Amino acid sequence: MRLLGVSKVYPGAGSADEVTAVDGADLEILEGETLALVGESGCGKSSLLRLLNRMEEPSAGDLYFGDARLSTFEPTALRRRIGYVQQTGGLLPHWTVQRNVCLVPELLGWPKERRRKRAEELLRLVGLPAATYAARYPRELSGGERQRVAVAHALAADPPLVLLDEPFGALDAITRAEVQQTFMRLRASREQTAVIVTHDLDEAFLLADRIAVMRRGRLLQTAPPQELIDSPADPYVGELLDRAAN
Amino acid sequence: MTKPALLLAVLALAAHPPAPAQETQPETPSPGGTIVVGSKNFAENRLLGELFAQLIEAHTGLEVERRLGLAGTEFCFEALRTGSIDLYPEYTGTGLVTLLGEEPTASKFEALATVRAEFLRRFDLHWLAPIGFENSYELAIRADLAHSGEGELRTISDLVPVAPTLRAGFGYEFVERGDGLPGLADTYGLSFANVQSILQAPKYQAAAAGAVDVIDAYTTDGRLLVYDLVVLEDDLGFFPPYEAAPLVRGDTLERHPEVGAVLGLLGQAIDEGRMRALNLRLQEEHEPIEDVAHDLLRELELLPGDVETVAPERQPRDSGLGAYMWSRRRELSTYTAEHIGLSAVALALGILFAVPLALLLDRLRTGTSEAMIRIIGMSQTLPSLALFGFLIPVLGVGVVPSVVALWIYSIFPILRSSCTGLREADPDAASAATALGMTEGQVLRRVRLPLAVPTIMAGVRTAGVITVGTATIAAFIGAGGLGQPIIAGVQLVNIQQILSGAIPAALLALAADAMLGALGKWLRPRGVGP
Repeated sequence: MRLLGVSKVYPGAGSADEVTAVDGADLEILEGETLALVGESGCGKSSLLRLLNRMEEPSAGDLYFGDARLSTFEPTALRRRIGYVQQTGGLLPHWTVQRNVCLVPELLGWPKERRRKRAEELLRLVGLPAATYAARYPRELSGGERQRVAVAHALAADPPLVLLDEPFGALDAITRAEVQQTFMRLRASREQTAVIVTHDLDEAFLLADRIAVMRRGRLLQTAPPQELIDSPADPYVGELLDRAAN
Repeated sequence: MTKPALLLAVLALAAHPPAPAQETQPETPSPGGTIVVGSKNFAENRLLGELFAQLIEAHTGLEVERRLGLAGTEFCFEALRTGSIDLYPEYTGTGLVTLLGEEPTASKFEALATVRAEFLRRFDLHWLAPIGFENSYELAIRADLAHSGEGELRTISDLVPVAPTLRAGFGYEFVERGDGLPGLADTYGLSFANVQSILQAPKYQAAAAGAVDVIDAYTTDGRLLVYDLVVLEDDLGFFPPYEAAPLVRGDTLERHPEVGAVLGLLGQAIDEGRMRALNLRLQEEHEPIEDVAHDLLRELELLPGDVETVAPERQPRDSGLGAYMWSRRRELSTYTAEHIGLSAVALALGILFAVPLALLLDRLRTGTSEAMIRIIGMSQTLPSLALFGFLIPVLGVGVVPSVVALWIYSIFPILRSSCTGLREADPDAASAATALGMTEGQVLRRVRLPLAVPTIMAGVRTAGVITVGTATIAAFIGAGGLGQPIIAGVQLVNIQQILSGAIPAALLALAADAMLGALGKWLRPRGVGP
């Protein structure tokens, strides 16, 4: 997926000025990589992520998915091919764990038996045995368990691209480390592209092949972790790394 | 069967409550069905209505539907004019002054001649033979006040100088009507220290208790015999003559000429003294209207000997509330069934209207939909009698306008809660569902609507309790229900009768609350709520 000069401007409400969340972003997401978008809260990283599955439409610039413009894809069909995990998990509270995991397969019309098998497999992979967890409701799970289910349901239909918006941000440190381990194990076993938004540089270093640093809507530098450390392209990048190191 | 489908089935059942058990009808198949008899909401008029009904039942093959106790002259007249009822007892003076807007006249022959000609010409309504008594307005004053001070008060003219120190308690209609207080005050130059509007029946008690000094009374009111009141002579002849007579629709007489013939049997049959005694039986002895009417027809030898008339079960006197309610169990169960039917249909319609409307409003901007909800909320503040005032010219009286009124009251709570429920039902879940590729319709059906169910059902529960509680007003326009004994009991100052409607009504409201609470729990999706 490529972005060329993409901007997103939100119209001002009432007397408030309009807000430029994303400002002329050029970015190429390479097949199979894990790309982390990092920056302070409000820097536009979540907006950028939501442009990728057409939850937002760009105010300017073009996005390409393969060779075709993103805007030529029908939004719901597109989203069914892109996994998505949000900070609060976004599980449907009135659906069981199993049904939540297989939400996208259900939308795609997979037969029931295939969905059940798929849920079982994924739940095992995220460390929640189906026998115990499949019939539970989200509120009967801990925060960490919920995020594991969220990861499972983003991967359920084997999408070529997975978007994760602060997926582990609401978890305590120990749980976060556990779920991160699970996520890495899952990533290792498949050739999926992933874009993960985080404000936690450690997490970015742990999970990502490349890191894109954003500030006030602008992409400052996109590079592998080591390159960011060795040759920061902007004083802010260095500052950010120093802060993380402390 | 899915839950919503099952719910619909239950509501459909509720919409057709089993018909109250019919008495076996006399086998003569009626050539033209049903006559609907109405009456106003005070004892004498009800009794006349019941007399008409029993006479028609005894002498014709027609079925009679009773819509007794409609809330006042205007309601009865509108119901008659629009064909919701076929006939009701009216008074010539009322017809002349209130309904035609003519000047009062002192001659009862002139009054009758005028209303006969004018009602026929304007409305195709027929005044049949007068029943034989006049029931005029009178002013009555507490005896102790009439005899105190300088000289006795005998006439209304005598009252004029002392009136500014007196408190008046007048009926609602009397205060408004041209042939009531406004005209009286003009004619005599009368003005009181203050005027309170009180229902006809409690006025006498208010006077006896010294809460008011002067009341309006009816000539034939039995209580004039019991309470210590002095009737003041209308020395200027202000009050027009009020002869009681059946007022009948022209097309009814055309279809069923026998109705006119049968009601003619009552012509000049009852004089003032007899009517006063009959009213006393109703007002002070609390005898059931059906019994009093039946006894009278027997005394007048107006019941054909060969027709087996079903004498209503006599209730034991001075029995407790329990025995009273037991003796009226048949009527009470009919009223209860009607009450449940009216409420259930109105609530079902409320749900079927308000929830889709909420879905529609949900597509608008929050500000716009809030404004619309507020406008719809104003329907809640309409007093029920005013609402009936709008509905009767269009829908007549009876079940339909009652259901419509209750439906209107049920909309707002359901709409309010549905809008809130849809807006606030877990926005995270809705946005996640969208991000994973649900269409807008799928998000609504599979996520937002199910998650809104607990909030929607809270509104339905509120609406249900409001509907059951408000359904007592249906009796004002002849739709029956548990308001029937309440309103009749208030008019007859019969506490047992009031309670026999009020207690089941309160229990029904509690039951509705519990049932809708349980239903809400059952419909609530698993994984949501407490």
